[in-house]
Amino acid sequence: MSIITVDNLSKNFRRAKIKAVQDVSFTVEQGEVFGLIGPNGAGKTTIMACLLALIKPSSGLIKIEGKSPFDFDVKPLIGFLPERPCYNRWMNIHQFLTYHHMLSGRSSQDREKDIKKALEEVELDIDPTKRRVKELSRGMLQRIGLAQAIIGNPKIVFLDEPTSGMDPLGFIMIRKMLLRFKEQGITAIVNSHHLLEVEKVCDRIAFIRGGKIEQLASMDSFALQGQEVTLSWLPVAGKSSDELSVLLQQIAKEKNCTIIESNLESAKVSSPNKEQLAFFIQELIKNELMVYEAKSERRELVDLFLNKGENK
Amino acid sequence: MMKPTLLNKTLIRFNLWEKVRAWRVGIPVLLFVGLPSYMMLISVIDSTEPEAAARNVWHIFDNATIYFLLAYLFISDGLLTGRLTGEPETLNLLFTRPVTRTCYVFSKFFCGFVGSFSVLLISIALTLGIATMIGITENPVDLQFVLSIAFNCLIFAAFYVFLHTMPSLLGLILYLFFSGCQTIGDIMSIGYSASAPTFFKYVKDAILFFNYWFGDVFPSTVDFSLIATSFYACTELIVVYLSNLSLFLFLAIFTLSLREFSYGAD
Repeated sequence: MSIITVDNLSKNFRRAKIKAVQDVSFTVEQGEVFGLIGPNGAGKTTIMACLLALIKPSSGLIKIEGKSPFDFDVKPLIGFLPERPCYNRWMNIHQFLTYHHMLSGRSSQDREKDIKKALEEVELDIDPTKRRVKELSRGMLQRIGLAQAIIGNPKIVFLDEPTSGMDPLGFIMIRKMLLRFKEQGITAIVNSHHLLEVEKVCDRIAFIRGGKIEQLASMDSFALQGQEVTLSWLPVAGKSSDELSVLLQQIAKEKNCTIIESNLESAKVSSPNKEQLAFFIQELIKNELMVYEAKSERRELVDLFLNKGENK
Repeated sequence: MMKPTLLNKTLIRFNLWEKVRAWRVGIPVLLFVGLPSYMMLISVIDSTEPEAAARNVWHIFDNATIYFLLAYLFISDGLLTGRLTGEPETLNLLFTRPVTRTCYVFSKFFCGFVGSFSVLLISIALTLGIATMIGITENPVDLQFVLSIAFNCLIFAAFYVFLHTMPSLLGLILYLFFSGCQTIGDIMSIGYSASAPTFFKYVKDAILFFNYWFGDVFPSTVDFSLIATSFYACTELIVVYLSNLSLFLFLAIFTLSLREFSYGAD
């Protein structure tokens, strides 16, 4: 059963005369990591704000565990990392996490343990009583934002640009956290511009532009939609560039692949799926091309991002 | 399973305790606690008429500004953040937690009232102690005096909560508007002249119109002894007080319920 159902959601900002979201529908399963991607101003954060009951939809229906997001019973299930880290700057980290632990209704007996665990989880190794929120760098703010999002032991986590301001170690930490969510059956809705990160952890993505979902698919199906690989082989004796080019084109045709570019020692190949690519490489080896490297381009989401942009 | 409540213990703890532990709020609170007793001491010592000087000091507790500032200290984060309006942008994260908007309003109101009243009670006790020490026997502190302070704390807490729940700029504009409507009437009624040019009369009428309709919205301090001695004569005062109190709280809840927390939603 879907933990989140969004049906024909629309949101208009009357004063700005903007249709921020138009007839968006999707479902999210329990334990799924669901990505919302799209260019700036696409409506991703507005969708998230509707799901969090921070704004009222103009029309449409949202259900979280079968209830309206405005229902009081839904709130304890939720953890939220906002895009803009506007936190209570006067508090120290310990006060800030205590504040959100108490607000989320968790037992006071577990408080210190939960705070310690959340700080470990976000890999923030500082004394929480010594540093105020206003003294933290952007990356550290992002980490305590994540800590407060998970401190209430939520069932659904909404992460709006989680990698924003993060260093590479922060990227890895978020990836590990999302993988742990999957293991524990926690549902995550991720709004991100970092497409590679989305590719690595999301089960499904919705591509949003102009307030509409243009594509909704699983990451597996994205990977199957196209595979670009640069293959390299050891220099071949006795074959001219033209002969090699003819051979590559012939094998590509047989195996339903496309040669994008080639030279004497390498070729960039596009295949419809992984199996066809494997057959193509097998055939090259049969024809005495000693393939020693295959570099996947993995540009599916980037291409989607760019191609959709060009289509507009 | 959590149940919706009217008061949130986290908001109460952080507004009444954690905030006061920070020096930016702690020091003003100590000033409010200690200043009347200090003034009692120096004004009486320095005066040839100590009883009259002491009476003047007790009038500090009639000052509307004190109640407004105390409500501000306990309701807003303004002093802690160095920004007049505090941190309204933290509300979007707060309202993803199990806190209803009604609960937020009542919790802030409760903090404003309890914080102000506690500070003033301690301040009165200190002032009374000092007055007794220096031999002042006449003091106005009785149940009616304490009740007046309680009622003042209530109305100013409600008024500040009402301003606090508005989008930042609107709150400031409303504050200036209501305080303007209250004070402008006094100024204009002094300057009336039958021979003044017609244009100025129209301007005056327009201003008095606002004073008539909105002049009572900005709270004035209440003297409970007047109500106790002549309840029926003070009917208007009581009605205005009660209607303002309920109106401020209703409007605070209503405004907050309408507000959306996203980019440019205000």
